[in-house]
Amino acid sequence: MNPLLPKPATIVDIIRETGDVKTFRVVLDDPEEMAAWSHKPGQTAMVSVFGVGEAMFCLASSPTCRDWLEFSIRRAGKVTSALHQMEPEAKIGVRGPYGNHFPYEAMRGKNLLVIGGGIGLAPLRPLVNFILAPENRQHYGNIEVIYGARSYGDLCYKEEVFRVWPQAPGVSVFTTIDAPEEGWSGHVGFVPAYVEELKPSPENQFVVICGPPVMIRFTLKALGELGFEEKQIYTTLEMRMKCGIGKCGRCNVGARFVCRDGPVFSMAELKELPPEY
Amino acid sequence: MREMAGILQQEAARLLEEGVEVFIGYAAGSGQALARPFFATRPEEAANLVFNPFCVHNLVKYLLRYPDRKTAVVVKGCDGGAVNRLVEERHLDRAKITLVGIPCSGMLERERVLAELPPAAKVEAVEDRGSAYAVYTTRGEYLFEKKEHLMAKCLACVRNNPTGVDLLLGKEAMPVADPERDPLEGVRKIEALPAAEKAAFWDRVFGRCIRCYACREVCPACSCIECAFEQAVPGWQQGAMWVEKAKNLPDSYHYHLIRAFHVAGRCTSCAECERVCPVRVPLMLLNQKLAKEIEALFRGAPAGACGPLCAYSPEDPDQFS
Amino acid sequence: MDSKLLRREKLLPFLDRLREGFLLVAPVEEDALLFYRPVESVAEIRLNPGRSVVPPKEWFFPQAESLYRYNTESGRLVLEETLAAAPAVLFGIHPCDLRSFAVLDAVFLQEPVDRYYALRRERTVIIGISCSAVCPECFCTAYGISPVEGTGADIHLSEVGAVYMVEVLTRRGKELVARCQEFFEDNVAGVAEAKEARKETLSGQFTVQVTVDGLPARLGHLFDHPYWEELSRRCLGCGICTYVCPTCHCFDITDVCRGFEGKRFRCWDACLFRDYTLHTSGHNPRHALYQRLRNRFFHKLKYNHDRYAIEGCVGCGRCVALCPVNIDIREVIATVRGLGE
Repeated sequence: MNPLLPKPATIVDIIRETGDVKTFRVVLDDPEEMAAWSHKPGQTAMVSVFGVGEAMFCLASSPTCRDWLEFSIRRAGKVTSALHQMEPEAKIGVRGPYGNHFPYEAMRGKNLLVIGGGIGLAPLRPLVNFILAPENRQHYGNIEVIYGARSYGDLCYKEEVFRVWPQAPGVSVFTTIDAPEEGWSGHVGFVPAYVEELKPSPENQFVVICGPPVMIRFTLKALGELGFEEKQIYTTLEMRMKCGIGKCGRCNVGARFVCRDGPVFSMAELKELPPEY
Repeated sequence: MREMAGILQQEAARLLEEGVEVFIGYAAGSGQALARPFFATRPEEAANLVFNPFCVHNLVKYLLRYPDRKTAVVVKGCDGGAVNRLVEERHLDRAKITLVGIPCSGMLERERVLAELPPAAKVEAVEDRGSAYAVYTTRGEYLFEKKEHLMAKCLACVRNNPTGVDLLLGKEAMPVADPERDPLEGVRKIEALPAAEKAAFWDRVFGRCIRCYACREVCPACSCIECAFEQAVPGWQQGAMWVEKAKNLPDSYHYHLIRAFHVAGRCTSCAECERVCPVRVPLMLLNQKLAKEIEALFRGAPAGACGPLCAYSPEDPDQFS
Repeated sequence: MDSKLLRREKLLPFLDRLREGFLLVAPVEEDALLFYRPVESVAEIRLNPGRSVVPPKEWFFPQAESLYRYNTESGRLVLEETLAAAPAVLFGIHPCDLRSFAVLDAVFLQEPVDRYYALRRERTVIIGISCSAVCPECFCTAYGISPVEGTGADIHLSEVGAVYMVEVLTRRGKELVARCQEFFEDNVAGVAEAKEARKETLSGQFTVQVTVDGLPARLGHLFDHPYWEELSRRCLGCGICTYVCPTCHCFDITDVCRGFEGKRFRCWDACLFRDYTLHTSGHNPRHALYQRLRNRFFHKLKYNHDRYAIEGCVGCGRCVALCPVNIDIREVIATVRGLGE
């Protein structure tokens, strides 16, 4: 088994989430490999565009979804631009899953607070969908989602955020956008401020948070003031990656490799690491 | 040499007291016959400064790291020209820089010195004896004839007394150049080779290039904020690079030849590129060859302060019309 | 552990015989520099080699290496991994470089195993050689490496007068010696003692005594110390120290393509380069040179130890000898020991 060799895969569907984010539904070409694929919420995979390059993306689909793998990708550089130009039936490569995952076992019996900004909801979404899967739902408490973006157009997973999740048992979803917009009657304001307003309780709660660094910084402050402890808050880090398997050295933060020992870290763990991310 | 160090330390301390924020000079290195670039930010740190025939580094490029601070830098005759280039190209503000020139009696080629010094001999002092340097060590005194032990660039040097500096320390130095040497000997030897041997020569030297980019990083003429070799090819190639980071012979040729053309006309022949190369690619052959061509083509033509390739005149030679 | 004798005049014929079954990679001299290269004839080999410029890690982890080829013509994808390694003998490896292979093994052979490195390691027999002199920059003994011990080699040679003492250290070494028995003789009294005496002589030649005890722990307290910024002032940000270091293993991966065909390859990279941690968004966690330089020393002197329980540096001295601005890792180690509390 060559860990640097991608598995051939095909894009079967592409969903436009926002002006620059698309969700790609991918199926591994070898049906046995597809059936054997198993990942945990929070894990990542390397996606190759042959001739262009490879990049690490979080798996945005829940492991309970067996039909395909989903990656939500923002167009930013050469690999993502190449992906954005592709159509269904296009061939890509996938290798993985890599990295650690959200501590979904420890989360059993607890409530979950999900805070996302923009495309930052992508790594958190598989955890929500995993918990909402019929076989898992009873093992978890309530889920509160606080999700914001610059504008309505920049909110991802609108179908889930506005329809599927609010209708699921024990789930409440609060959305916000940065500035007032015609047609938007929901909350207006930044995510950290919204969190302060909503005053979630730290009692029996895990928090998963992902979004732009500035959003995370101010939200952590707000959560601190609400009594949350660092060890109950989890986030995902991203770094420039090449091998994805902890050998090329590039993604290190201290002695940890984000590709292998991450991308999920608790705030308590991050405190122990040098601030180089 | 000890006397010069004393004068230098005094002047540096004074400059640092009077407002210079970073004084860039040389200090003793951690090995035999070795110096290193040194950055003093407080007057007391000036006591570490030295000047001796091991101070081979061109310190001018470090000025680019302190564009907004008041700086002072020690320059030998071969270093100073680079400052003018960088000032002309608007990378540096000349008003913020104090150039401290030191007349140079030649820099020793470290390898040749080490070949003759016993490993345990610690260098304690160096004296200039005109045609030789006397090196006093813990294991005795060693004489190094300049004709045999100076760096190649020194034996062709006609500018060992720096000009255009703000402070000139010490006495004027005697000429260092060896009049019997042809400074372009290496270039002429390659020019005379038949094509197949020329190719074999360059295949061999470029073939061992490990692409560490030390030559680019040390070169004061390589001052682009984003180097061409870090840029992606624009357009449909989806981000291919001009030159791959991977070692392959064609790309090693491309890298060195393109870089030589990029610095042509602006190169001040400090020869740092050749000194830093860990696999001894004879880079000065390229730079000297291009300088020779430029001199032949543009001889007599009015040159801009940053070299003949940066100035245009309708009288420029034109072989095509 | 077996030991045999090899008369000096039989070394080249022995190596020549090996060329019948193996690619022979040995130290060759070019323009007064030493490189480990495949040789066509044993006459090219530099016996009693000093320190090579490029370390022998290059043999197991080449500067550039193709990973796979692909073809996407007619909408189908064909992937072909380019995994190949000829059986080889790597001759003339000094103890510091022998140790470096163990450090690289910890990285590349840890699950998931790097197939490219693993195949080359599997297919290469290593003949080590004891040092006959200590370079001014060497400090291998700081890491418990002895200039006359062949740990990491399959066979290790030590020159003693007119013979080489041959230590057969692994099963593979034993097989090799058995296959070429006519070149070897039984060991005689006095040779092993002479080799040990050489060790004493050499230990007096190290110019700087370096102690690394407790270094990883001390470094843990010095991340924010201004020392790193001061050290970085003269650093050029080039890749010399990284590329000549026998244990540095960072690499980049790129694709090249022409039409429907192309390949992916990996090549050496240096954490000191500006774009090493540059995100596509433009964010760079180590945008300043001192952050990158600090990271390199922390990786070499602390993270490697923390992660793999093996020291990242082997004291070969190449970076000390070749850094154009005299950043000396021995000095960094001594300074850190002085600063850390």
